[in-house]
Amino acid sequence: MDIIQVLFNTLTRASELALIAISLTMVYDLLKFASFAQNEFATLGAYLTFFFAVGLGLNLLLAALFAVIVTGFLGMAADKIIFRFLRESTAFIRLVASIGLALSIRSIVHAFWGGQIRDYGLGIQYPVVIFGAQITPIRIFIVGVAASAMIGFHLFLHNTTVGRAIRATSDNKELAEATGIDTERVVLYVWFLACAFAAIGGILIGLETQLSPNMGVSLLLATFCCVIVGGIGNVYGAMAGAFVFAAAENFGLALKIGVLQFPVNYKPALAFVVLILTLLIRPRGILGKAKGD
Amino acid sequence: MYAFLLHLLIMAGIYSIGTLSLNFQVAISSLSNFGQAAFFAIGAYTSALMYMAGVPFIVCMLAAMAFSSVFALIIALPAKELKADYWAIMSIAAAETLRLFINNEKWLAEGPFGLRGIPRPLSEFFGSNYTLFYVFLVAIVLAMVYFFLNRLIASPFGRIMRGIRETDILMAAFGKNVFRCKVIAMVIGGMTGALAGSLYAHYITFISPEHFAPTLTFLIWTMMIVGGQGNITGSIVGALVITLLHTSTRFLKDLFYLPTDLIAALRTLLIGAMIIFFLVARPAGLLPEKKRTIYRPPDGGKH
Amino acid sequence: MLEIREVDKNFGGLQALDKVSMEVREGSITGLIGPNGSGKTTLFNVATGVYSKDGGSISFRGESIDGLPLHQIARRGITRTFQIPRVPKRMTVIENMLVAAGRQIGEKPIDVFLRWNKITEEDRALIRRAEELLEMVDLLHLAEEPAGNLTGAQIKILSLAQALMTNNDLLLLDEPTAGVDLDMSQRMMELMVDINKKGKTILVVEHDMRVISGVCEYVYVLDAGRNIAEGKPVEVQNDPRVIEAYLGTEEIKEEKATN
Repeated sequence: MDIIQVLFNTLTRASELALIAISLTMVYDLLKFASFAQNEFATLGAYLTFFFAVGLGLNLLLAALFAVIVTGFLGMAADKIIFRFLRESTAFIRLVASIGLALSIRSIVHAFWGGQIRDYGLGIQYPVVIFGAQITPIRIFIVGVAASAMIGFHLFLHNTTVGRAIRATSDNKELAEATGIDTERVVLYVWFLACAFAAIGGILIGLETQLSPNMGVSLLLATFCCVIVGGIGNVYGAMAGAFVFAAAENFGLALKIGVLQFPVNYKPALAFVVLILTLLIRPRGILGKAKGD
Repeated sequence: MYAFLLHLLIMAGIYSIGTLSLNFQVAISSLSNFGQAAFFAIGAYTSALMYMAGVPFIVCMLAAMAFSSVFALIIALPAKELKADYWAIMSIAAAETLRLFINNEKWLAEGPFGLRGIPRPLSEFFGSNYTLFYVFLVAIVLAMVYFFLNRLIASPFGRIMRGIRETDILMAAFGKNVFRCKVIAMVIGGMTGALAGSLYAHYITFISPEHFAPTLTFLIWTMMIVGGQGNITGSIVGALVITLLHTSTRFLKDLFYLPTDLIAALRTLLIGAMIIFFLVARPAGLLPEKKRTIYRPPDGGKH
Repeated sequence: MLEIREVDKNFGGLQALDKVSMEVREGSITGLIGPNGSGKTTLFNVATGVYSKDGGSISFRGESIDGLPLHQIARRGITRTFQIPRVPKRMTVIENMLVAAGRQIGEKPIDVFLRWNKITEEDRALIRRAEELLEMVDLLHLAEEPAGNLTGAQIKILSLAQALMTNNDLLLLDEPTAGVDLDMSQRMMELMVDINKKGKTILVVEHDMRVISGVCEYVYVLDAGRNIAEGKPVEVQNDPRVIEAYLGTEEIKEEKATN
């Protein structure tokens, strides 16, 4: 096993997953439900980028920027059209509604762009060798973008009025309202941010591999796994969870103990195994808040 | 048109059974199971494989129920520890893992290629009228499941389950073993769900892991939500309405010359839009759950 | 009947119960009082297996019930109510009563099919009993109403009726008069005495002294998770430690009110 190679693969995978996981955890933290739609917002972001870049011929970076913003606004629209009416419902009803939304987004993507596989037309990527590991420049770019997005988000949460309003609202909604924060507006900001983050995640996946209408949903369990491992509702937990999960995946598959090896064709089940282990050993996750019910 | 009508009735009947099963789990027993497709899969595969091996049909169905109840038991176990949304995610993961298993273990059931040419029971007796016979077969099984669940929900057990869904701690304070009740409810859900899967396999005659993807689970959830959570008659109505819409999309192909790919997308959109529309506009569904009035003895209960 | 010996309970370093002991004699109405946060409800939760305890022992009719979960304790013969009553609001009042009855034949799904006649027979008897109890608490006219349509006070009364429906001999009532008006509170006290005369043993948590002195024959006082006094209501009322515990919190309340 080539440690550097596996480590870098882990880092790339973690970068992609973390952004979608953050998206999921942000919605959970503020609206208290597990949204199945965030992965589809990732797909949507990736396809919108494809549309702006390949369809309209824009520069890829510019296309990505537009796609992220448009996806963010679509997230706000989803709240206005659906979730606004479900504030008083149980969390479970919102979860089911998010499944409805997820199916709708996926089928719309499918209807518009078809079921075939697409890519951004970057051509073949030639790897450079760093410490014996084969690393394509695009993957360095992916890790870089994800890292800056996360650092940027951290700074945003702590140093801006909107960021502080978000934190206050997710800590205690009533208290935030009492101090004059417009929580309905904060909810919209969070939808924008969460969906924009998901879009970035989707675009990064699209950059590394390809686009298909199922690219988001195929990562559904993995994303949930990252969030739960890290501690649901905690943004930093989502990052940590993504790293732990990616490491489990990459090291788990690379590990050979004698003839024992995790069968490659069961890779998707790894999310299930990690999920079960976490729920059994530490249901709150690594950085889970010890909130009393 | 006649053939289409029979097909519609059979599919609606099969989905009705699956929806009744889900309704009992979710709306009555507060077990938000997102692995319903797994019960279908177990029912379908068990029944198909055993029937192909020469086992009598009725035994195949019973075996399907038995295997499915084992799976139900396994996924019910963590329900004690986990919050509802965690458990929902766990159930979908378990169902997907099962599908992965069928897909990977090719020795079992041809893996991704699926089982083809599954024989139809009693086909030698009915010949060209087979579809009509199947309508009756499905109707009989549906009637049995309906009667079974209806009585169960009205029984003391059903009362306890309906009590648990609102306040489990109070039911425990009345001496009811909440966890045990939930496990039993799940097993009943698993057994009834397997019946639907078995009927599905012998009607369609071809099953593969693709058939039992989460989309099937969501389709059944839609039927339950549209029909009305907690109302089992509603489940049949919901299944009928959604099956009609779902299977009618095939006419779009001939009417507007739409590609198959697009039809598939539109079907999924239909499910998604229905879920959202009903949850926002009519959360109780077409037939909301009724208040249960208790039979009063003629003397008014006074002596 | 119920013996609690030196029970400890810790919540993350906070000593909620510190060697609390008490005894409920068969046939009595025993009171448990103390200011808010003194550990009364915690003691209830520990005694009925909702929380595990960190030390001590509890026995019921001479048998240890340590470590048993809530539903098993209920089956042994102890029924508790909750401070904020939790009734299934989508079920009717009479269904609420029926579900409370212990060990019914139809609790096993298999019997629903094999012994349906027995179940309807049993149900008929249960309905009759439920109607008697509802009549006693003046809720019979609401029997077919969903519990969600009841007022807060009616729900309190309903939970008491449910507790009686379980047919258990020991009832632990958690603040049955909290949040109800004076008339209703008076009615509740009469009911408790009535029930007691019919053979039920009652342990009642209260912080309303008036209720306690009205119905209880023996009272335990908790403060900050400790036994501070016990005795007849009159003795306890004049105990300086009790007065201090109560006055202390009253002062804080007043301070809060003026702020």
